[in-house]
Amino acid sequence: MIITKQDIPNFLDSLKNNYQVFAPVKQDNYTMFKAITSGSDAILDYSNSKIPPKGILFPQTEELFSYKVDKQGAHLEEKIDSEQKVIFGIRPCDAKSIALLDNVFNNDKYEDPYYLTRRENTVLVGIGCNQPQSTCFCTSVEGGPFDTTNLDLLLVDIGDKYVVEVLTDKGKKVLTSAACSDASEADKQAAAKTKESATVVSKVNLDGLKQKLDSNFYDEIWDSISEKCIGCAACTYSCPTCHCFDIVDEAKDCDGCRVRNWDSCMFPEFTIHGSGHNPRPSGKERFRNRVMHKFKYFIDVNNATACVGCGRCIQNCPVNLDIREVLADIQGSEARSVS
Amino acid sequence: MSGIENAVQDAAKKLLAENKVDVVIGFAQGSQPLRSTPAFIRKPEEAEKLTWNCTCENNLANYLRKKEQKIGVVVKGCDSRSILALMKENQINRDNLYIIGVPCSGMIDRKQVADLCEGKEIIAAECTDDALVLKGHDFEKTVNIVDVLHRSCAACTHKNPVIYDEMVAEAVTEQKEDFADIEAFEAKSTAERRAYLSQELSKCIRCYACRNACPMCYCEQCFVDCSTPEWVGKSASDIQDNMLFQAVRVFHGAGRCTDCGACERACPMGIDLRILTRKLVKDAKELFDAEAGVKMEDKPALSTFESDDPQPFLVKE
Amino acid sequence: MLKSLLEYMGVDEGRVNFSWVSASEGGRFAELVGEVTEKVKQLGPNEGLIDKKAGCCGCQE
Repeated sequence: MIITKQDIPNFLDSLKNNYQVFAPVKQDNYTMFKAITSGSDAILDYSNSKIPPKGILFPQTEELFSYKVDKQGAHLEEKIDSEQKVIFGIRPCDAKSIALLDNVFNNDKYEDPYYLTRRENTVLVGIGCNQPQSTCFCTSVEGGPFDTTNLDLLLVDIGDKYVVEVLTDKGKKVLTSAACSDASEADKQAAAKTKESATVVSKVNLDGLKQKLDSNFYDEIWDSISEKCIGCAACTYSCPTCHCFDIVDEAKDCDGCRVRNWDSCMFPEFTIHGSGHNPRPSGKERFRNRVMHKFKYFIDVNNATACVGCGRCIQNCPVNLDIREVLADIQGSEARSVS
Repeated sequence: MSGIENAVQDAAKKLLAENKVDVVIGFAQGSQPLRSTPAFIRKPEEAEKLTWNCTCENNLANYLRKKEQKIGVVVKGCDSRSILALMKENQINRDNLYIIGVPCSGMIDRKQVADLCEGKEIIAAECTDDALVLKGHDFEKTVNIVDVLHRSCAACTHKNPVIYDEMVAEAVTEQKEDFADIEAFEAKSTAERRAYLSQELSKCIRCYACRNACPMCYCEQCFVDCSTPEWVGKSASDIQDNMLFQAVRVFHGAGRCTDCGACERACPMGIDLRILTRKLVKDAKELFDAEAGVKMEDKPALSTFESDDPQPFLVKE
Repeated sequence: MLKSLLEYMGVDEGRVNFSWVSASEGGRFAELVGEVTEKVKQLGPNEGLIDKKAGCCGCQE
């Protein structure tokens, strides 16, 4: 199928009748995924958003339920968001990250109704990356600029139009409101050519990394690679796969709500025990945990690396602590292919 | 610029070779265009990794608190002020520190450069003495460094380090303090100021990069992290709480903030934080003629009391 | 400086008040509290630092 770029605003507007539509929009000099009020708000020439769209399914702040206590007793009202949503323009790396989040929120021990209801009701419309950024390394972590994992539709930009690949029934349904035409043989060839010419320059070597991490918990290397980290959460909050949260009650008198907020392993209070003991007392242990969680623990539990190579942590780090260099240092090789 | 770079490398090499310090903290080439990164150099032969150019933006005083080792550190004017302020607060032992001072002509603001390139990716950049040559996939651009200086650098009044053991270059000319930006904001109506600040703080994601990048923020337990009691709500979607967080953070720096701009640079969301921090820099100057981290003998503005201290805050009777 | 910062950030002028009162000045204390109460009453309820009405965790009610 083919949809022209000119028709995208109309397509999004028509989707708005049945869905809450999220799309990349400009905020200052960067891009964010936001619920749009008009199809023309969406921008199409963006590299990727500052903060990943994971927050649409797993909000940074989410009210789980509200409560009220009066003479009759306690009253609870659960807040489950079951609105139909479309995320338009999600990049393949971010779509893949949602597959990783699925492992966390839907497994044999626990099913999270808040996340799963949203997940069930959300259609992912991806746009492939014709020009990956210099910080992208998706191909090193089993992804790619046109990877279709988890997507319902994939759009391939061939100039003034997109070739649409329909991947699921959910995607097919969404497409019914679009002014589509059939893709010609030339269009298909153009799409194939585009896919071929998109190159991800930056590479990370994961061969044997897991084995190294299995045994280097007490290695001195953690002292040196964590040395410049200042311990903020710019990396974890801009990471599409980070999923740690903290639950608090926010109360005013007898009313209140229970809220789930993103939390970060980089914060000192993340692991503090009731006794006051903190098993990760300094930045070194916290930094080690972040690397271990992504490249060892998550593999132990879910058999997948918890990194999709989007490069946001590299771009957002205030001190330019680059995960590619960290992994290369762990691998013990000087070889870096940072472009 | 390369003259300074060589001088910094030579100084570091000498310090390490003579065993005067255990480590030299300076800047090395970063992994991306327009980035340098804090570097910890422990061997004389590694000193050549050190670099000096208009991207050495981090405040290295942040790495010096409560350290046992002997440290050599490469500092700009602002870093040196933070060091002096931290010495006064007994956070840094001067005896363990060797300060390599660099007169600084200002560091660039990556956000302004990104604006000039309309957000397009910069794949290569070259810094000369006064210009940046930027290359993208489909453009090439030369930008004057003075046009893209970070605002804290453009307003800087202490480009030359205020404390050092050796200075690696000739001092640069200083400029006068100018609070025109803060005066303009003060002149706005309450509603306008509220609207602007709530718009800015609505972008906050509570990553606390501003706090962690600040050399003066070193409480063992920060009030925002504290959960018993919970001084401020943890939800990033609550703009009011974001404002409260900033109000307390900023006020904690009253009379201590050196306006180095580290908080604003660290903010991934590009929030205008100096509109708040500089207000207190201005007030400290106007009310107490105090400037943080300039003279060792100056008493801390808010930790001293004089019977003739101005009291404009009192209820008029 | 606190009063100055808070008013700069958008807290209504006159809502933050400071004074020195000695423990022995009972009458003066009562008078001041009376004045401040009157002043704050005139300002009306505190709308906070932002104009939007927000719920407990920032949820829009």
